[in-house]
Amino acid sequence: MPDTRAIKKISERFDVESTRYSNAIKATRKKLTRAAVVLTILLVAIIYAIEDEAAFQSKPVSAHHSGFARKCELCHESSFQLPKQILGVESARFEHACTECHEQHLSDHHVNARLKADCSTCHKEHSGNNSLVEVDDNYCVTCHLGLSESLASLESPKSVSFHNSIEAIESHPEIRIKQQLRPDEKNSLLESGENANIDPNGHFVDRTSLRFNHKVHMHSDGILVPPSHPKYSTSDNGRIQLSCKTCHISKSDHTGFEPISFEQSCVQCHELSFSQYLEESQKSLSEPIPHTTPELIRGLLRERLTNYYENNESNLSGTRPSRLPTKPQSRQGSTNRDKWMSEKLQAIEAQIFTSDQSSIESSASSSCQLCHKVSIERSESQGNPPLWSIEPPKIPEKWLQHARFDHARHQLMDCTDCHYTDDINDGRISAVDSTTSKHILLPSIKTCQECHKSKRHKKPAFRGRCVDCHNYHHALPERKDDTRLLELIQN
Amino acid sequence: MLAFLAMIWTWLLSARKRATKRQLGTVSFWLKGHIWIGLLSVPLVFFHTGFQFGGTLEQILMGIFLLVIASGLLGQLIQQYIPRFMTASLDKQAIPEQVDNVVSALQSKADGLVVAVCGTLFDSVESESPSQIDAIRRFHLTHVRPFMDIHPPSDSVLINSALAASVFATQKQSVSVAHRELLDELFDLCDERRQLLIQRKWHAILHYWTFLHIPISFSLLVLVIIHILTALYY
Repeated sequence: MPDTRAIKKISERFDVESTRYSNAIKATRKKLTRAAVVLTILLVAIIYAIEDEAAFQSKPVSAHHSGFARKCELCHESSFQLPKQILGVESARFEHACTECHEQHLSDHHVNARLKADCSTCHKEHSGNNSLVEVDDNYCVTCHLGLSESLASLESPKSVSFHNSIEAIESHPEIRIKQQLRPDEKNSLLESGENANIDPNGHFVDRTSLRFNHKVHMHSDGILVPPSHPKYSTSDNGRIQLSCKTCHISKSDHTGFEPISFEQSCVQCHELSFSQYLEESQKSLSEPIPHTTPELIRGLLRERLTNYYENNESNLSGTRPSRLPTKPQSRQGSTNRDKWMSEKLQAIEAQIFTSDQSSIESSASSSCQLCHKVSIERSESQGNPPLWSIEPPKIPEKWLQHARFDHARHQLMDCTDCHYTDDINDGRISAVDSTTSKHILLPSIKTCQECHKSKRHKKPAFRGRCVDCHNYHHALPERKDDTRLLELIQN
Repeated sequence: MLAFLAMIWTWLLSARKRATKRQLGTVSFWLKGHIWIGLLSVPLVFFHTGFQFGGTLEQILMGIFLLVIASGLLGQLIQQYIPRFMTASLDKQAIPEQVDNVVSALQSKADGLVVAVCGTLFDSVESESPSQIDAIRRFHLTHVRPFMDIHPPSDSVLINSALAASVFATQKQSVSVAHRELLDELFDLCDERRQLLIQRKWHAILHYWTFLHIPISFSLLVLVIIHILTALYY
C-alpha cells in the first residue's frame, strides 16, 4: 500500500538529535567482528598448542612416515621455497628430503624421463593412510598418453607403437610377446636377453632348446609311470594324473615359481640309466647317473668303468693279475684297459645322449636327446670318444620383463584360463594341449582386460591401475641403512 | 589462488561502503560483484581442496567458509523479499532510527486526544456507575496507552489487527456517537503503532543476519591468511 501521508506531517516527528546517536546495529556488529577475530586467533593458538605442527597438515602422513609425523623439517628441509622459486630466486630449491632414506630417483624409469620435479610429483604424502606407492594412473598417463615425441628424440628410437597412447588398461596395447610383428619391426625389437625368437609369420616363439610336450604329460587318461615311481602303488593300472602344480611349484613368497628341477619333477619317470644296454654281468655299472653336464657324466662313467675293470680285470683282459701287488701292470695290460674303457665309454655315452628310446611304456630309461638338443662338440679322434655337448635350455625365470604378476591373488582361477597360446591355424591352444615347447603360454592382454577395468568403468570390476602390474623404478635397490632413519626418529 | 582473490573482492565491499567520497562504481554494482564472485568462490574452493576437508585447520576453515556462504545466501534471500513485503503491507513506516521517537509522539498524541475529551487521564475513584468518559479513559489507560509504549506488553490485545478491530468495535458500541470519532482516531494511531512494531521486527530480520555473516567472514579472512602462510612455509 502506498504511503499517503503528507511529508510535512511525517517531518514533524523527525528528531534531528537522533543522528548524533550511534547506530546500535553497526556498533554491535563491530564489537562482534572484533571478538570473532580475537577468538579465531585464540582458537588457532590453542590448536597449535595441542597438535603442534600437525594442525597445519592437510591430512595425516602415510603410515610408514607416521613415526615422525610432527617433525615437518625432516621432509620439508627449507621454508618458503615455492614463493622464492616463483619469484626467481636462484638458490630456491623446492624439493623434499626423500633421498635421505630412499635410493630411488626419477631417472630409474628411463634416461629421458621428463619429470623435473621431485618425488612428490607422483608420491603424494599427506593423503591420509594410503600407501605412497599406489600412484594414480594420471601420473603415468602424463607421459604414456603420447610417447611418440619423447621416443623419437632418442638417438636410437625404440618401439614407438608399443608404448604410445596408453590412457587406461582399456587402451593397453597387446603384450609385446604376444604381438605379431611387422616385417620392419622384426629387427628393431629383438633385444639382447629376449627369451623368444620370431617365426616367419612375425610371431614370437620360445627360444628354449628344451623339448617338452604338455599334452602328453597332462593327458586326461593320465601318464604311465614306472614301477619305481612313488605313486605306482596307488596308480590306476600304472597311470597317474599330473597337474600343473606337480611341476610348477610356487615360491614361498608368492613372487613366482621355483625353476623346474629335473630331480624334483622328472627323475621319477625319466631315470637316467642305461642298464638295458649292458651285459648281465655289467649291471653294476647301471646305477642312474645324475642330471648334470656331459663332462661330469663322462667323469662319472670313467670312474665306474675303471672300478669295474679293476674288479673284473682277469675276465676282461684275459690275463692273470699279478701276484705281486708292487709289480706294476704291464704296458700291454694298460693298453687293453684303455681300449676297453674307450669302447665302453663311447657306447654308453651314445646310448645316454642319443638313444631313440622315448617310450615310457617299456619302463625304460630316458636319454638326454629326449628333451635336450644334443650335439657333438668334438668328433672321435685317436681312439678318444667324441665330446658331447648339450645346449642350455634357456628357460627364462621371468617372461614379463617390465611387469609383475601375483599368482597368489589369482589362485581362484584355473591355470589354463591364462596360460594358452594362439596359433594362426589351430586357434587357441591351452597349456594342457600344447605339444611343443615353442609355444609361449602367456595370456593376451584381452584376458586381463576381461576382469580388470579402470576406475572410470561403470560396472563393478577388479581394479586395473598401472601400478598394479608395473613399476616406475625398474631396478629397486636395497634399502638404505636404517641408521639414518633411527636418528631422525630419535632426535 | 583464484578462490583467495574472489574472497578479497568480496571483502572489499565493506571498504567500498566506507569510501563514499570516491567514485568507484555504485554500491549496488559492488554488491552484485560481492554476491556473484562470492558464489564463484565456492566451486573454486572445492576444486582447490579436491572436495576433501583436510586437516584440523582446513576443516575449521571450510566450516567457516560454508557458514559465510550460507549466511550470505540467507541474507540475500531476506534482502530480496522482505523489503517488498514491507512496502506492500506497511504504509505507515518510519525511518528505523526514528521509530522510538515516532512512537513517543504517537503516545503523546493519543494522550492529547483523550485529555481533550475526558479532561484528564487519571481515572476517578471507582464509582458505582462509571460514565462513558470513564469507560473511554479506562480503555485508553488499559489498552491503548500501554500499547503506545516503546516496548509494549507482549500480551496486548491491540497487537493483532483483527483482535484490535474487534475490541474497538465493542468499545464503540458502548459509547455515544459523539465519542466514536475519538475511538476512530485512537484506532488509527494504534494501527500506525502496530505497523511500526512490525516494521521494527522486519528491520531486525533484515539486518541481524549480518551479525553472523560479517564477523565470521573476518574470522575466515584470518584463517585464510594463516592457511596461506603455513602452506607456503612448508
